[in-house]
Amino acid sequence: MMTRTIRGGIALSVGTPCDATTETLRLPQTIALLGEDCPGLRPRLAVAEGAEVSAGTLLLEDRHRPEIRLVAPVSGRVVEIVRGPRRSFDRLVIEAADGEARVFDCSAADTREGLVALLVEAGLWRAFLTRPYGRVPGPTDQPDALFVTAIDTRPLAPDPFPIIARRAGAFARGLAALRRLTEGPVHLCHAPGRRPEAPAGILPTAFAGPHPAGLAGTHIHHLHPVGARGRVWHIGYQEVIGIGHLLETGRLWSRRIVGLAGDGLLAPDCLETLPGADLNALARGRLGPDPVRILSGSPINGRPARWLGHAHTQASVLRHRVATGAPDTRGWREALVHWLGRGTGALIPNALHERAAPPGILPIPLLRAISVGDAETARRLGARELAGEDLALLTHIDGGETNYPDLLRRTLELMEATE
Amino acid sequence: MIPLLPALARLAPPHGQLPALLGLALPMAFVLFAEGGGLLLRVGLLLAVIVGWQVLFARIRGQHFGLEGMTAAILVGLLVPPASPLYQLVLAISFGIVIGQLVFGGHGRNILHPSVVTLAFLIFSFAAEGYGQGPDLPLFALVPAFVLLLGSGQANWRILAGALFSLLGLSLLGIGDLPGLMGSGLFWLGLLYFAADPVASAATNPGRLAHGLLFGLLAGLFATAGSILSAIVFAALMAGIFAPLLDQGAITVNILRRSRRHG
Amino acid sequence: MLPALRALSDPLLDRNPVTVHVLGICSALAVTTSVSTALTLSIALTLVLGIAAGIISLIRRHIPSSIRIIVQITIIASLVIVADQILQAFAYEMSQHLSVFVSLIATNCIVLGRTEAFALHNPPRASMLDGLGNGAGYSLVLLIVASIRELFGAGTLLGTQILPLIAEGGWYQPMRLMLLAPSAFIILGLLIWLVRSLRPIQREAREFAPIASPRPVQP
Repeated sequence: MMTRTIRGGIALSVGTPCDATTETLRLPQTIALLGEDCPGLRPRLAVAEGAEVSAGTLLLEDRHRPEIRLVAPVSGRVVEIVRGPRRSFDRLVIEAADGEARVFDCSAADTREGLVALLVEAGLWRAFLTRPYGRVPGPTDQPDALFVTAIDTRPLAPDPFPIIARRAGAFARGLAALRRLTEGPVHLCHAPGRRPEAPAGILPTAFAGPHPAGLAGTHIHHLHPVGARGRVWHIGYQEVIGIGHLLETGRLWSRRIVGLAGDGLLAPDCLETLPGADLNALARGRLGPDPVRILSGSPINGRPARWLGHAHTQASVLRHRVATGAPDTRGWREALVHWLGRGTGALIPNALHERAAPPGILPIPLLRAISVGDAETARRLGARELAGEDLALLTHIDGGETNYPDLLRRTLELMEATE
Repeated sequence: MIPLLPALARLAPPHGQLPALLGLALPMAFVLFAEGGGLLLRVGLLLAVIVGWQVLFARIRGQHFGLEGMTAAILVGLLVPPASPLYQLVLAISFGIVIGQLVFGGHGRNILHPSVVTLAFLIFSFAAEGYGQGPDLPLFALVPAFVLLLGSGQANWRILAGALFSLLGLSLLGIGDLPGLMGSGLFWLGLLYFAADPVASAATNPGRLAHGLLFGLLAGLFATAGSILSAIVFAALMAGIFAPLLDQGAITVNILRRSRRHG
Repeated sequence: MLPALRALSDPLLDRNPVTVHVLGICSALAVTTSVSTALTLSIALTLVLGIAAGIISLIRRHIPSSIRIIVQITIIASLVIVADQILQAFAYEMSQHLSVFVSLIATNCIVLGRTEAFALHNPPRASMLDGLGNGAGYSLVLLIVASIRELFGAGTLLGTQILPLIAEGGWYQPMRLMLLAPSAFIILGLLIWLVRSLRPIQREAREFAPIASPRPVQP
């Protein structure tokens, strides 16, 4: 078993994360599935507003790619379906209620085709993401390797080790199933000294160091780089628990373990809750006196949201900087300081950029290339092996004004189009 | 470089001109003490001209600007002789700030430091005025600048290390006066503010080492033939022009390593 | 507008060989330290270009394509030698000031460029007008640069002292930079900037443009 020490990286101190050794059960009334989690989805709805659904019922699928299926994670009633611009899908809100979960037929899951069909049917296929480009893979695609991320170095993230330890059986079962999906190695990436129980044939590797040591991109760079060619998949540890649970019981695992932390809370908490949970309900009664912002995800890669994102295992509650919200309420002194410190908005190189950069990447030339959509230079500088979350730390360093993950996404789209 | 003390973190944030301005406080105090209030008049005039140009360009282009004009005004005001005619300073700073910074799109998009361009313009144009002689700054006056600029990550240590390595090499060959340069506060001012300027220097780590080496080599060679300030200004000018080329070299090496690694 | 007038006026602003095609920079830098030398070289180049364009155009159908460059250079060089001799005969000090730059008209890209691009394919009268027009455009730029350089570098214009120098009891300290080559580059650069502001069509299209990110909103 190897330990890789990541050089560079920045240990952010934004508060204390929750203590993952104890979980509190807190189930909200409503959950939602968000269109932001499936970019480029062309929805075909399978239910209407007001329909009663049970856990595992198909809600909508992609018209062009049937392997991308959104199923109901819990039983209940569909309360609201909101469409977005240009016939896209914004959110589908379900009011959770007790009910029978749908039972899936797991008998054929010993073969690869059977397992793939089962995962697609249960809506768990979209937990896999390819690298490069971060898309959901096709059901017949073969990856060169598979990565399971069982380490989380994002600020305020809960420690995966105790969470996995409490569900060790399901996790091991999920890992064993993953071995059938690829001919290549299955890497289990974890923190040093915190290795989950894994069946034979899984390759565990410890990654030591500050963020971004816990990101899938870092692991892929060190263990199985995908530069000019090659394709790997990665998946998070809670989704693997979900796969294992499905194979054991035939029903969906209707839970997510979420670390709720941030300086806007009275105390951080590790919650066992529903996927897509209403964050307002989760944070209610635990907020401090100041106005807060609630983000789904960590303070650096999170987005302001009402509901928990699909792959997110944490939610951040941060104190809002401006007291009453409107810029006009700033005093003239603060306005002057803001006016003086605004700057031209250009990228000023700093030693921190080199530390926050993804491994093997020159940060300043890459950021300049993606800021203007220079796909060719970005590709040569290694943008192909990156996903948005790898650049979130760089955005944080630059004050959060320029959204580098978003710029990278657009440049990757340009690169994909010309490939 | 992560600051060691929380107080340092507040004074030396990674972005903004605060570390640079605070670092210039002690040299300014020293020159003020040596020369008198003329320094403030000079700096004020330079600042007014700079802000005038910045506002004009900001309005035409719809962009903002920050406090970098103040840093440029203080640097030029410190380094010109007290008896410089004001119209020459106005002309030079206009040239420096417009051609050196604003036409490229403002701070962060320029290739050369505007103060370096200004001083080079003055040294070239008005030889009789003695623009190449800088003030005599003691070494301790630059200690806050050193700590703040390195602590905030704005001045990269690689540039300083490269420059010192070059100077050491030159002195081993018998060229140049290493102790004289190292003990001169003016040299460290040039090293920290001109050579290690985050925008005008190289943008990749190997490029920064090469940039430092080049700057040290040129400064050491030029210093044998002229004054320290003129050596620094022209070394910074030339090294700054070559910085993008050095970066391109580092980028090419990075690309080759990646293609060899991934196949 | 008559085509003839267009041939003479286009190279002044819209198709100026120096500011648009950036040709002939070498002599534009070297001889512009004073207006008189710039004027002399401009006249020499204009006449050489006009006459060379006319001659080459007259024999254009008889020049074999494989040796056309040599033939053009021979004609241009002969005219340059004649111009040089005339200058040495009638304005000896001026020819000493200009030293090799009159002979270097033969290698000036404007001359060969216009004969190759225009005179080889067009009748003599049009070619001569095109040559004269381009020479006029070159002269205009040279005179502007030389005026600025001489005025600020020495305080004179065509020999007459306009700004009294400190060395002669006046107040003006001449800018030594103006007598050096970089100043000519800078003035040319500013001139090109001015011309492109007046004629936006001369600006090249951007290869890339910065992408603006949308601001995140709290839902």
